[in-house]
Amino acid sequence: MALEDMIKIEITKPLPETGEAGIVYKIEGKAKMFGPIGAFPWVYAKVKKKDWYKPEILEETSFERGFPIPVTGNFTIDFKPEKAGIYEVTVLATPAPLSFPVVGVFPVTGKADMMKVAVGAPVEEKVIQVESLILS
Amino acid sequence: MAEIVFLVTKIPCNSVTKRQDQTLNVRVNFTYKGPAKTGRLGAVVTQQIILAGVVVDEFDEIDSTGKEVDLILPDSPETQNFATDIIGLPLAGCKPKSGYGIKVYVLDLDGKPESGCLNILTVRSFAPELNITSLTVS
Repeated sequence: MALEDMIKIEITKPLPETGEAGIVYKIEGKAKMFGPIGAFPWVYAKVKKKDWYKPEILEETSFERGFPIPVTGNFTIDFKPEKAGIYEVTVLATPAPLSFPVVGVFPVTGKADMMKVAVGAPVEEKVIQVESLILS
Repeated sequence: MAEIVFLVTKIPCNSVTKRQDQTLNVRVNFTYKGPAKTGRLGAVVTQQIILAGVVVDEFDEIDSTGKEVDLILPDSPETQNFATDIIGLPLAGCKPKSGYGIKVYVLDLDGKPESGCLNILTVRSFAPELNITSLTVS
């Protein structure tokens, strides 16, 4: 069994296809371990901001930690895009917690399908509320 | 067929009595949160339309009384209080009676939020009233 297949990651609540900058979106899923029971996986969302003019090596990549619940393996990860753009988000499992900033290649024991999210600029909030009138 | 329902938010307001030849001034107290923006703020006298004992329109506008002013809103990251005066709503188009309402609305700010209050305006006739109180014959 390949290292990447040791943990099966099932996404139960994927990200929407479109979103808005500054809003928190939740990824929900389940991480199941195959083979001999080892340490419980650490789950991360690898977030790549795709810019057409940048080569892949220069793309902004960040990792958002998920919190799996022991035994069930259910996890949630918060994804909060700060800027408008196209994001590729892939949930990964690793055998050990990642040190931040993440440097180099780390072992991946499970990988979910990549989710693509088009994030738009935040909608400007305009709220006007009439409170009272005074007639004369 | 879908029915479009316009809701008017009821807000506090004092009552006044005016003559038909007078005008009505409206001070609108409101809060705003958002970027700097310009719009229009309007006020109009309204009346309830009741048919067969059923209110069919709470805020039927009396068009001739309408007046609008420019609304210049500064950048307000937090909710701020503002007041704008709409001066000189003509009342000549109102029949002398009580029970008029007032409605204010905002234009050019994503939709047309409307607020108003009922039964706050009484309009009296401005026709000269001549009462003969006594006679003296000689």
